Amino acid sequence: MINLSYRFDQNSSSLIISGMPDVSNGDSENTIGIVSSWTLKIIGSPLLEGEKEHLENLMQVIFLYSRSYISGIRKTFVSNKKIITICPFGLSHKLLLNSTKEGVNPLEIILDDSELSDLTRCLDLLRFDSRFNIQWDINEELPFSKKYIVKNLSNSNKNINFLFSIIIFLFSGSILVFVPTNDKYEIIETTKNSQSLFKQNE
Amino acid sequence: MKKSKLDSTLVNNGSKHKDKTIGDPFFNCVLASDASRKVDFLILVIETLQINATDSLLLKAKNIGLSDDFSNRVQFWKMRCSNPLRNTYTFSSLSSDQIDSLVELISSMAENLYPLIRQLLSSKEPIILNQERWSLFNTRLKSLIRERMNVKRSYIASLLSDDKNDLFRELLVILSLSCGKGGANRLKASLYYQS
Repeated sequence: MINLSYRFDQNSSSLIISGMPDVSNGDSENTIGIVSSWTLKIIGSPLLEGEKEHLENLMQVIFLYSRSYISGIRKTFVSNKKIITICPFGLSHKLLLNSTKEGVNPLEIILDDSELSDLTRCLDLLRFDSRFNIQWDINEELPFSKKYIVKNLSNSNKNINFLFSIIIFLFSGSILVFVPTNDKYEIIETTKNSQSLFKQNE
Repeated sequence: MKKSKLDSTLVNNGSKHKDKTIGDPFFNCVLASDASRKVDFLILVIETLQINATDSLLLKAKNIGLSDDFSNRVQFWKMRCSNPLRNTYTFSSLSSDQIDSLVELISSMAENLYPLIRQLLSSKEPIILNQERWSLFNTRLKSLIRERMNVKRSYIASLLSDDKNDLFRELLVILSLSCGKGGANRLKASLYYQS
């Protein structure tokens, strides 16, 4: 049985995938169609390893988080079975990995922006690698709805401009109410003129 | 694409086409109003990171076989003038083909500049060295903004006076996540809205 192993390096992240061709699917001898194991090394954190399902969960969560982050949205994403969670952690990002084995404490990895992009790029390389004939269960990158972006934007003062415009409108409107009109003045002027004309006639 | 196994309450990204892969994924999507501004600012960051970046951009565009819009500096500049914050705003908007080309170009330039972008974003670098790099980056980017943008606009004035530089960091993060094929897809998706 041919056992293949491919490695993807991206600065702080290094991913090794081992597997074999799926002969029943017509894979060539250099193509991995069945993933047997994987290991992920992120500098400064323990070695991660698991089955295909775990890697798929990691890919789903990282890609969704990166997709949101590129649109300025920072929110928590949890995989199914709650194996992997990623959430904002100050300026950094917290990756929480729960083991499927009982009695193993969850692992917490703090990633800064550069490490997050390294990990994303590393998983991107795997996703688009032609040496793999695997249908990854990953969401395609699609535009968000405008409503979703407005709802989730971390910028807290998004409504301040609208509020500010209303205050300016009310303030300028109330000032205009107190400005006296010159109708009365014109009436006095016309009566004065008529009086002077009357005197001239006399 | 298969149906996602992720928790639907957390994974729902507001997209109506979450589970579809058949046909154009950008069908029924509209270009975001700030797309031209975002694209122009990303190119401005590339210019900040690389001296004579315009030549490199045009050469890169030629190498990856992009359209006539990238044949010379004037055509390229005209495209960038769709940014309403520019001094020379032309009241035009970018076509979807132009957006595709610009996304591809930005993505491949970001890949070339990735080591520099990474250095600026990394928190593991020595603090003093990082501060010096950021100071140089800020000074250069602000001078480019002052030169090209309409400084009478309050947004530009606030960018130039702000010392936190949140937008500059945000632009660098966008560039870092835009590298490669997956990155280009991410960047393109961020420039559109679901209608």
